[in-house]
Amino acid sequence: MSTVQWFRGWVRFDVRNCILDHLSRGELSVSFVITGGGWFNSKECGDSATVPRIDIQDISIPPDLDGDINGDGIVDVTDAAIMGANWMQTVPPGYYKADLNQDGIIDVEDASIRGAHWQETEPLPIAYSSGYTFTVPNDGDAEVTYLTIMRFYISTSGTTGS
Amino acid sequence: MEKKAIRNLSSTTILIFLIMLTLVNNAFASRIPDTHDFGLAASDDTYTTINNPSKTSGSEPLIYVSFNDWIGWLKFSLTPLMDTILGDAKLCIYDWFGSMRFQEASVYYASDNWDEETLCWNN
Repeated sequence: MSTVQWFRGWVRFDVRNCILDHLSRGELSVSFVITGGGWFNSKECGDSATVPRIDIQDISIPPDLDGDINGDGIVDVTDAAIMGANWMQTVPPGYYKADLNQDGIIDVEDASIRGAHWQETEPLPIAYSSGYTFTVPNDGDAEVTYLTIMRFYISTSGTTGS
Repeated sequence: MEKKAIRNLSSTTILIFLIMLTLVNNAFASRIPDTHDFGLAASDDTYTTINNPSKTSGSEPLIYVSFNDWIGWLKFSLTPLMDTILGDAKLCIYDWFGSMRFQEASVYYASDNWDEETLCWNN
């Protein structure tokens, strides 16, 4: 996939297209094999700052509606489930969008914000697009094709199409 | 008279356009995409070696990698990314030992049907 050289310390590989490829196929985990040379810290190394990780940059449309964690325009059980799955976790590794008051922990204060807006709805933006590029699996040919997918959201009183 | 009417019409059109622009701008002011950086921790990490093909190493503090004889394995859950629009993703591993020469390593995709408790060279 990719090869890098370094002297010591952090080694970084661009894995964006790989992750997008996995997500586009509905796969919820990704594995990598490392060859070459090095003694790399594992997650059991005792130093949380140097464990293996993927640095993610998330481009998101901030929801106008407090408590709408997944940004679908309504505060409902889906948002409650996301919060429940991250309950009492610090951020990170807890899901940062569930930390509604942004105090670094997903707790009762966030639940109360969600509760105060329970079942509230808000139309999604009139139109916006999000695009991403992913690698199309090929049949062994060295040539790789890239596609850009554009998603358009049209709001008509809270219902969406894509 | 005709010129005056045209001027009035133009002014009205511009005014309407400015009002609409203000309304649209207000509607989208809080919807401007922003970025958020966070780290995704590995769920499994280990290494396998042909020198000890039945050895499992999931609980060890280091992932030893040496050409094709010692191979490192990493697995990450992508569940936290289901609602994200991915701007960038960098796999980061820390070389604890380093050396007096440049190291070189390669990363490849792998299948996900393994876990750090049981993976060894033999399986």
